[in-house]
Amino acid sequence: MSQPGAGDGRSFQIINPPNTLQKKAGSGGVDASAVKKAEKVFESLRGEFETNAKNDVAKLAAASAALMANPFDINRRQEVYMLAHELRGQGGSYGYPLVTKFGDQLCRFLDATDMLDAKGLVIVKAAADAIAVVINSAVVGDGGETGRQLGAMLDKALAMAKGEA
Amino acid sequence: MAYQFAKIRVLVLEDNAHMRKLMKALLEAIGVREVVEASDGAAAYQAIKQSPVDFALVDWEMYPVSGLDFVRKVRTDQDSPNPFMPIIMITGHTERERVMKARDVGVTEFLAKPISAQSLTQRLEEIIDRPRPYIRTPNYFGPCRRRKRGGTYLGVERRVQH
Repeated sequence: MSQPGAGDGRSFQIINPPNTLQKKAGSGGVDASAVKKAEKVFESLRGEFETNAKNDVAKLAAASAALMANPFDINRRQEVYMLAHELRGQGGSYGYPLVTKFGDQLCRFLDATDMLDAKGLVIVKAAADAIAVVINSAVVGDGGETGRQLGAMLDKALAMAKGEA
Repeated sequence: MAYQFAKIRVLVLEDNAHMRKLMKALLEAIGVREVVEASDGAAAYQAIKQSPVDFALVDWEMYPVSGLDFVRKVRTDQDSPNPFMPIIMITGHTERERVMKARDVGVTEFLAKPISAQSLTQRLEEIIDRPRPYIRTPNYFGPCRRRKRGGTYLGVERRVQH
C-alpha cells in the first residue's frame, strides 16, 4: 500500500489507498443517456439563472457607480469583483459566453491593478455596461454584431488603460 | 456497463444557492441519490464527520470557512473522517497561482467554471478510473501533484530517488 522514501528532510511516502469509489460505482464511464439528462438540467435552470443574473447586473451597476464616486472604496471594489466573478462562473453554462468573457476581463483587470485611476474606472464601467446589455437584452451565444461591438468597446478601454490606444 | 451512482454519497460545498441547486440536479441526473449540501466549510466538515461521503465537489470562495480551508482540514486534521477523500474543486479562478495554491492543500481535480455536463463527467472519470497515489512529505499530504500520464515532468527533480 505504501512505499517509504528517504529518511532526510526530502523524504516522502507514496500511498495507494484502495479505490473504494470504483468499487461502489464500477467502471465504464458515465452512461450517455445520463449525460444527456444532465445537459437538460441547464435548460431547466436557465430561467432561474437569468432572473438571478438580472439582479446581479443591477447590483453590479450600483456598485460600479459607487466605485466611480469613490475609487478608494475597498468594499465597493470587492463587491464589483465578486459580482463579476459569480457572473463569469455561470454565464457560459447557460448559453451566455459573453457574460463569462466580459466578467473574466473585469476580474483579471482588477487582479492586476492596485489603484484605480480614471482609465481604470472607465474599464469597470465599460465591463459592467457590457454585461448588463448581454443579460438584459438576452444576447446569447457570440451575440453577432452586438456581441462584436460590445467586445470591441471593452477591448478599446483595456487597450487605453495599457497605453496602447 | 456504465457507472452506477445509486450507492454513492456526495458532498456539495457551495455558498451560492443557485450553483448548489445546479450541482445537486446534475448529480441526481446521472444517478446519485444522496447529496449532502453545505454552504460553508465548517458545516461541511461536521456533515462528513457525522456521515462520510464518497467524494466532494467544493467551491473555493466562501465565508467564514472557505472551500480551501475545508480541503486542508480533510487532508490534515487528526480527526478527519477520510484524508483520502477525492475532492473536486469547482472554481472560476483559473489563474496559475490560484491553481497551484489549491493543488498544494490537496485538491484532487479542478473543475473550471462555467461548468458543463461534459466537464463534470470527465472529472468524475478521473477520480473513479484514474485515482492518483497519495504522497506524504514533511510539508505535504495529498494526491500526487504530478500528472501520471505521459511521464513528461520537466521541472527540477527534488524528490530523493531510491
